[in-house]
Amino acid sequence: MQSLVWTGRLVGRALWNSISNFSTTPDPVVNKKLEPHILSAVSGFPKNLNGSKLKQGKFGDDAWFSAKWKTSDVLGVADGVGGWRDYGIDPGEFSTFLMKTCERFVKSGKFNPSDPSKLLASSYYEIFENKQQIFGSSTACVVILNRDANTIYSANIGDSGFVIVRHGKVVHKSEEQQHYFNTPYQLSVPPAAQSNSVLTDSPESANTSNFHVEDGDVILLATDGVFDNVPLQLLLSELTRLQGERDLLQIQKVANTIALMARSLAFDESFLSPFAKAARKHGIGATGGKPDDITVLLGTVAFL
Amino acid sequence: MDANRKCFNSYETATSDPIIVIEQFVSDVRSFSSQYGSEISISYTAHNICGKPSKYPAYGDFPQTFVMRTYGKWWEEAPSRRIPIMPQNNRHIKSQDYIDVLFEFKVIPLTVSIYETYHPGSVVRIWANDSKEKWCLLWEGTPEIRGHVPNIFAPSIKRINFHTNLLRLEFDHSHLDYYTEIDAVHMSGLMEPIRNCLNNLTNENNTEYVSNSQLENIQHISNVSSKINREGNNVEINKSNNGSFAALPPYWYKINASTLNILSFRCKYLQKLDLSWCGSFPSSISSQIFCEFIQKCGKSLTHIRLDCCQFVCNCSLETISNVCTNLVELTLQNCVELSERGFNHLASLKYLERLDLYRTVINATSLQEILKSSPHLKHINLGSCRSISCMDDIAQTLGTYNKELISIDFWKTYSLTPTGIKYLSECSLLEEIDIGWCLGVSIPGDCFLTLAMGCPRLRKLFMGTLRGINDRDLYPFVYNCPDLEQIDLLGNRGITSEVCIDILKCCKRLRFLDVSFCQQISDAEVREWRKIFPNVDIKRSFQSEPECSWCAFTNHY
Repeated sequence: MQSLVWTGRLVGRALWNSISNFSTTPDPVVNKKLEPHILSAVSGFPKNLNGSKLKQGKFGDDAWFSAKWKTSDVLGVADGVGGWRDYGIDPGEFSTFLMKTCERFVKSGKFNPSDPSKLLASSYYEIFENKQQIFGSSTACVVILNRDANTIYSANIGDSGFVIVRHGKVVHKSEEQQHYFNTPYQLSVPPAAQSNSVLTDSPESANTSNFHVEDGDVILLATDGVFDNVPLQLLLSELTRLQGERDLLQIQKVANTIALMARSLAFDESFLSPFAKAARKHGIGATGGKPDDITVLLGTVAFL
Repeated sequence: MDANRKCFNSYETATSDPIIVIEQFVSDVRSFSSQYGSEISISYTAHNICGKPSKYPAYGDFPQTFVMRTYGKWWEEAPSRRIPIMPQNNRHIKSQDYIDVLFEFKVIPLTVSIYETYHPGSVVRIWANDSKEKWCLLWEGTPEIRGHVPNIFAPSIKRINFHTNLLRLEFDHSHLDYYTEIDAVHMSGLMEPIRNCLNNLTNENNTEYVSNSQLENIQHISNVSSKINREGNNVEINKSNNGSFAALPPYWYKINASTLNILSFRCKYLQKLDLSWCGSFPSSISSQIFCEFIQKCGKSLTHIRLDCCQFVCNCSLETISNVCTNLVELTLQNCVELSERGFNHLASLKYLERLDLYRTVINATSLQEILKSSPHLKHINLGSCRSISCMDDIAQTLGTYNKELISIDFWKTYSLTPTGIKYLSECSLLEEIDIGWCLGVSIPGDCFLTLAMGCPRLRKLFMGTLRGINDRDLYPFVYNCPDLEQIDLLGNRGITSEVCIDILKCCKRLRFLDVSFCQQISDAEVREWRKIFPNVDIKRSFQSEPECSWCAFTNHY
């Protein structure tokens, strides 16, 4: 018994010493297994630069978050459907609430690190638990890097999305979900009067996937403001530059470049944007970019 | 190690030994007595107290904080109020709610800081646990009103000489104007009792463990009392001088197996027993000890209150239902260990008048059996009972078998629909109904008309966040229920000022009206009404964010 007490004290002393030396002599990493992390940066523009207040986590009606919990890095973007403005409802409120709530779930550890669609669903249902009633609708895309499995799990509703680029090639991307042209799948909470005339997709209808990541992979999460305006080839050339990059400043630079590119092309009336091409396929003669809110959440996978 | 939770400060003392002060926020919640949020949610729930403050220094009604179920005097004035057992036994500072918070590291506490982001001033006691079953009072003080400002409440606490990672906070919010909201709790403390440092601390070595021998109080309270309950609701009990009562919640930290044992010798004819909050550790009171106690002195028990008692298990209910055959009141709030097997025993009780099952996991079948066998049921609380899959069936049973019902609490039960509400209108004596956050009633149809016609004696009507209701749904109550005293309409976007004015005009006995987050009603209107109707306390909650700085492009990597 005595020896047990002493062992306990020794262990305690050792533990305490390691803590007291915490700041001065970090333990050398011995045989530590390298684990993937996402190093990320965000950039973007609200569609209307003059009229919108700058607030963390949103660009116009777009919203985003990034959070960590134990073995997971989680990123997400959401695009509030602008049509609600006609009903006197701020479309950004819905998307921001969705993303902020995802962030809270992640930071409190109340999520399954291999089930992003559940995370999205929990956040959606949380809207009904708020005293302040929030109306609106939004597309959403959430990816979780699960370090235990070296895998990215994703859930996507609507036309926001992500691409994973490895050595200049798109190795994985989300699938766009549309009811019909320019009408993406969306999570929504309509006011009672509009409940019959509004598209409402359940959070369970999210498109899910998982993908094994490697060191150096580049992940771009963005709203349709980017994908509708910047051709994939152009995006690729930028993303390829980041292969294996671990300098946050470089990642931020590329994120800024992509956001600025999307912003410029969106207002270029002569440019045959991906959006205009898709419109033509549906028999709508259109040229030029599509002015929209732009959110770029860009990250690289680094095994640290 | 999670660096977000704490930081290490080391500084030199007179000797060369560095003292390590650990600063940490709550890592987990062990238990609590009530929460505003629902079981499946993270809004307004107890777990929001974990981690760093998420809203401070913002001030307002935010879902990211810990909010308790009640405030003020309104619940005490409602038809469902519980008659206090031995109120003379209360401490001079009473409390209605508590929360037990866990920290990652055991420390000798130096400071405890409570981040209050809405209606501060309700904390009345802070306890520290010594990892066994002893609790030490760190601080006690009267509740205060501190105005509409965010507050970090950091009273100077008593020095203790043991390590703790478990604190209990007790709250008295009966003086507050609205819900109090707690964002976070911070504790700093010493990791090791470093000798030099501790000399200062242990000089005050008067840390009073509450010893088992301090039983005078317990003996005192178990004295036969015939003057109790001046309220007069239990006259027949007071007439018989044999009746005795035991209300132990003020002494929750003292009650253990041996106190129960002593009590069992002194109270053979115990009629009312309140053990709420007692037995916070399995080692202090085991379920077996409790069962033995009930067997010894439970024969004449009519009232048993066991809120937040962690020793209550299925076998406790079996014993209670076998021994206490005359039971009138049984409260089991937060008894999460109970399951179908235990609840089924309660169906043998025939005289139940009050059954409180807040936050238990009773299922529909067991509950229906209990309801069918208790025709005299007057008060039932089914708030946050998440395992009842079809509340309409329960409502149907209530409407058919429990015609004497006075109060029903369906708070945050999602499976109740307008069909269920129509069944409830069969209970014509109903004075109180709480269907707040019953989202299944969002589009009510004509069910409120039926309810208002069937229950004209309604005094308290809580219908917060039934999102789809509008003025038309409320008028039946205005015309048919003249006795209405308390109405909660929180979060109903469809409600306009028109119906509110009619309510204020027509319901002469109205004292309480909550129109928070009713977006069609303006703050100016509410201010106006407060002047015109000074007898009515009109509630209007709000959120206010501090101005956001230019932070969108920084702070993120």
